[in-house]
Amino acid sequence: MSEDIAIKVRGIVTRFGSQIVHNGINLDVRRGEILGVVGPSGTGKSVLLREIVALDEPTDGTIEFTPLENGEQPRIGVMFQDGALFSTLTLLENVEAPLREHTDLSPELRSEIAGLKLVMTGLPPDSHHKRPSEISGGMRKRAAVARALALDPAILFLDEPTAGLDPISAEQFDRLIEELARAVGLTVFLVTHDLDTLHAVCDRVAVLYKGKVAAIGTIEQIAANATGWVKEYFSGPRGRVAERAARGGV
Amino acid sequence: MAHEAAFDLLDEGRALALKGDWTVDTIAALEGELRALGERLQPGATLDVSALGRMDVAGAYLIGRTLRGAQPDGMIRVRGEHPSARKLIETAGKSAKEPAAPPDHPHGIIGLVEVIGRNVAAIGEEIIETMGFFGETLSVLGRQLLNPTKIRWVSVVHTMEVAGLNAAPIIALLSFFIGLVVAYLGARILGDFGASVFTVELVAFSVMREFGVVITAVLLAGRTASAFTAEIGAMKMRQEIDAMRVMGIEPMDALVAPRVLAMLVMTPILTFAADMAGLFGGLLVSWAELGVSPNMFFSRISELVPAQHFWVGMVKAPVFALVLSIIACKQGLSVGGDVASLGSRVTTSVVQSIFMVILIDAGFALWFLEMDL
Repeated sequence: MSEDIAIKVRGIVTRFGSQIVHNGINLDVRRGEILGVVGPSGTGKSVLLREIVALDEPTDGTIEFTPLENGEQPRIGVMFQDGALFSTLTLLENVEAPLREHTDLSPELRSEIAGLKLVMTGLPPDSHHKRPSEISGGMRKRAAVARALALDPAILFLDEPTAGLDPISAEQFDRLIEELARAVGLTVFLVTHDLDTLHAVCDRVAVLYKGKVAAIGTIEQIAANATGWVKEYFSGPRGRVAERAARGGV
Repeated sequence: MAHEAAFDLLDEGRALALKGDWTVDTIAALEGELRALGERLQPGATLDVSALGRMDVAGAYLIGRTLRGAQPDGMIRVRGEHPSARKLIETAGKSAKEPAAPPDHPHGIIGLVEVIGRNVAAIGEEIIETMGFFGETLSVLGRQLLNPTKIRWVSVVHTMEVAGLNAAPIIALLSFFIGLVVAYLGARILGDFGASVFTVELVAFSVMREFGVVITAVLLAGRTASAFTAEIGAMKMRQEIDAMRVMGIEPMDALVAPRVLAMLVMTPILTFAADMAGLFGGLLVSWAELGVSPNMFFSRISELVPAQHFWVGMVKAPVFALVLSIIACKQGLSVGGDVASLGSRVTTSVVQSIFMVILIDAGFALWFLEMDL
């Protein structure tokens, strides 16, 4: 069913000089799913994300967002790897920033909604007036998600959401993403290296390898038909531990 | 297009029916109306979502806030079919907490006094820190000069090129114009007394004693001190300085000393270039306006202007170099974790440098005057 697809990526080619990063990427992101994108370092996962959100332009190919029922383009939210919070603003002001630009809400309601988003991502009210430099990396990532969600986007992009977090924080973060996505009905496009994240939250996984989508499907499907790099990735020691944790943990 | 958000009060306030889209884009218009609605709602009112279009967390929050006030138990009864409204209202309700008050800053007179006090204390600290840094740099420089193998020649030469040589054209050009202007003034004002021939001395005195070296120092403060602070500050922000420390490389040795050394060498050279360019500007004006030939210009200078005036200017150059580069490096190393501190440190670096240059120059002027130099 074509209307179930939120983003259609067709024939993406990306070249930096003589280096070919993407060589014909085709990918569908279904509405309401959490899609994990994995691949070895340097396969252009983050570049693909940047191209989809129109920060970079691919050398060739098209990216199409399916309009919403009312014909509007869906709104997107992006969380960058290190959060990219504005360092001169407090957390609350960071989340308020997009609201201030794009809505006519009164200052009180705006700050209430921004506070609500921060609480939803697990940041208690007493942290809302701190600046990004005064809080831990994990909290910064939460605040970054809150800011990405400020305008209630239909699609959320996450670049390495759990990189640099300790396993417990990473697990909490995985759960947060899943809860938020299910509660609000988000479509999530998630670039990650974290096998636990893939097992815990992703509905489907796309593997980028050598400039192509090497495999796409549920993690069980991929693991069952894996060859080469994909097999090594999912059935190496880390992959097996993550799989066992996901099975035993549920 | 989004449908406008609207609502109907039914059954004398016992039910609230939502219509249209309740999203972050549409709810702004309803805020006031909803606030007034609070009193008209009956306790235990239900929410009818059967005609509701799209809803998001912001919309759910607003409706939840309105209804919850009217509910004795804080529960919201929802009726009607909607794919997501129930869940969204629940999600928003769970996370709605009392906002924390923003940190308290004293206002009025007390606030003013506090700000003044803080700033005075900060200035005092800054002076003490800079003095300490000055001493530390001198001791590192002394150690390196006693053992020249320790000097990092590559970065010294690199800095000499980037911060010194590349600044030469602009410094020479500016000094040329200053010489030009001074000569014009001299020709004009001294001409009123019939002493226009002294224009040559006026240009030579002022350019060699003051303008050459001060123009050089002020330009270097704007061009080089800011660059030093930004470079070192960016390294500090990206933890490169910490990385050097744990590797056993002292930033004082590797970053500060080469910059100070390079400036110590280059500033006198640039000052010399500035002097020459200034004199050249004076020469052109004297020639064109007063008919003083270049030959006569030079012979007048060599006969009537003692060499001490040149040295009075030159001797200030290394002092300015030292002060500039040390202030710049110190400010760079004081950059904190956020972007704003980088900006404010670069500003401080330039302002302090220019301030110190002018201040020291005034000190020198007094001193040389008393010494009859």
